[in-house]
Amino acid sequence: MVSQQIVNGLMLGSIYMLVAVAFTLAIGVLNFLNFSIPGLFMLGGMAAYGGVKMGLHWSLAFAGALALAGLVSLAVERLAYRPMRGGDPEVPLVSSLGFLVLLENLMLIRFGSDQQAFPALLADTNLRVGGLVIGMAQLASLALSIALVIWLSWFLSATNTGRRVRTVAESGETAVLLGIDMSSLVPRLFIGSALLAATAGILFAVNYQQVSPFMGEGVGFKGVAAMIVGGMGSIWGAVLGGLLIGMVEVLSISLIGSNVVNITVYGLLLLILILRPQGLMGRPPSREKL
Amino acid sequence: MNAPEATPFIELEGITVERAGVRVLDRVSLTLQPGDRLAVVGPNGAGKTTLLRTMIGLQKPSSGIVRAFGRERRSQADFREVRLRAAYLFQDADDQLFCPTVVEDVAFGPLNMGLEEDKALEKARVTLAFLGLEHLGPRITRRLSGGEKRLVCLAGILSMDPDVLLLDEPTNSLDAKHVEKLTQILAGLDKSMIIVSHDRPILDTLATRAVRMKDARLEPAVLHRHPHVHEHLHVHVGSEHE
Repeated sequence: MVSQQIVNGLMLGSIYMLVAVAFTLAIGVLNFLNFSIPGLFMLGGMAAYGGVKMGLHWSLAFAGALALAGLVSLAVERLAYRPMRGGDPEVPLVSSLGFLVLLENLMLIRFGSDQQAFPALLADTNLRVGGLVIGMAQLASLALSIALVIWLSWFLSATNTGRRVRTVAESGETAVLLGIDMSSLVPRLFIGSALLAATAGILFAVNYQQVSPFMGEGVGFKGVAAMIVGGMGSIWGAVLGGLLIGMVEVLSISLIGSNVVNITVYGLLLLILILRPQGLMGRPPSREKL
Repeated sequence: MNAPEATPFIELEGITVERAGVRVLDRVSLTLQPGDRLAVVGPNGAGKTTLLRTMIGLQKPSSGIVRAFGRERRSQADFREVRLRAAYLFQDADDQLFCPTVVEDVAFGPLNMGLEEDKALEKARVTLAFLGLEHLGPRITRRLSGGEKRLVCLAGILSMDPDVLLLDEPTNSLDAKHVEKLTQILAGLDKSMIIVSHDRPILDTLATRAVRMKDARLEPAVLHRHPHVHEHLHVHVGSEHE
C-alpha cells in the first residue's frame, strides 16, 4: 500500500532530517562539513543501547548518550576544528572524518561488528488510522523531530543567541567585530549539532530496534544528500530534503526493490542538482543564511 | 619635569603581511597615541585595509609585533579586548546590520559585551539620541538609505564605548548631505581615530596627522595649514610638498 509506505518514508525521513539539520548548522554557520556527525549519530544509538543493556532506565540511558555525544563534539571542536579554523575548509573536514573512524572503531572494540538488537520500548502500541498502521515509536519520533526543528528555527530567529549564530553564519569576521565571543558560541554550536545527531541516532535505534558501529555511515551520507537536495545552509531545506529522501528510499524499496535504493536516492540528488544547483529551498549566494 | 608619556593605544612594530607570496605590508611600524586622529592615504591596493585588519587581529602578520592598549597581542583571545576598544566601521554598512530595527542593531554590540537586554536597548537609545538619530530607532534597518545605514553603523560601534575608531572609507558611496552629517558627528567625538579615506574634505576636517601607504610601505605625509578665508587643515601626501 503506497500510503503506508509514504508514512514509513516520513518516519525514516524525520531521522535524515535531524542529521541534515545537524550538518546544516555546521556548514551554514561555520562553513565546516563536519564528518563526525555520522559518528555522533551512531554514538547516540550505541551509547543508549549500552546504557539500556547495563540496566539503566531508558531515560537515563538516553540522557547519558546525549551527554556523551555533546562531550565528544566538544573534543571535535577543540581538536579538529579550532586549530584549523581560518585555513582551508578541507583540513577540519578530514580531521572530523578521523573522529568518525575513531568512534566507529571504539564501538567495534566494545560491542563487536554485529548488529545489536535494541529493546522495544514501545512494543505493540500501534495506531491504526484507516488502513494505515503507525507505530507509536515512529509517531513519537516524527513529532519529536518536527518539534525540535520548529524550536531550533524559532531559537535562531527570536533569541539573542540565535541572532549571534546568524551573524556568524553571515560572516565570522563581522561577528567578532561586533563583540561576539566566538570562543563561547562555537562550542555551543557543536554541542547543538551533536545533540541533534545523537537524538536522531537514538530515535533510529528505538524505531528500527537495531544498532551497530557503522550505522552512522549510510544515514550520514543520506543526511548530507538531504542537506544538499534541500539547499545548503537552509534549515527548512534540510527538513524538506530529509523527508523527501526518506520517502524516496522507502517507496523505491517497496516498488522497485532494495538493491536499487541507493541508485534511486542518489539519482534523485543528481537530478535535482542538475535542475536546481542551489537545492530545492536554497537561494543563490546572498546575505541570508539559516 | 616632563609629564609621563601616555601609553599608545596601538603600536605596530615591523609588521610584514604576505598573501600568496606577495608582501601586502612590508615592515610597517606605526603608533596611535590617545587623541591622535591619523589619516591613512594611498592608492587602492596599497595595503590600507590590511593595515587596519592587522591592528584588530583579522589579519595575522608573518612577522612583527602588534601592541594594543599596553599589551602585546598574539592570540584571538588577546584581540577580543582590542576589538571592543578599537571599533571598526565597515566599508559596506550592510555587512554590519543584521537586526530588524535600528535600535536593536545599535544594541547588538552592548548585548554581545554582556549587557542585559533592557540596559543594552537603553544604551542604544542614548547613543542614537547623542548622534541626533533617535528618530531612526524604530525604523526597519533594511529600509534605511545608504547614508542612514552608515550613521546607524557608527551608532552601533559607538554604543560599545570604544577608545579608538577605525574608519575604513567612511564616506564611500554617501551623498553630500550624509558626508557632511557624518563628518560633523566624527569631528565632535572625543575619540582617537584612524581614517582610511580618499576623501580629502573629511581628512582635512578630522585628521591631526597623516601617513601614506605606498607599495606596502608606510611613509609620513604632511599636514599643511593654508591661509584661506576660512582656516582649515589639509593633508598633503607623499612628495606633493617635499
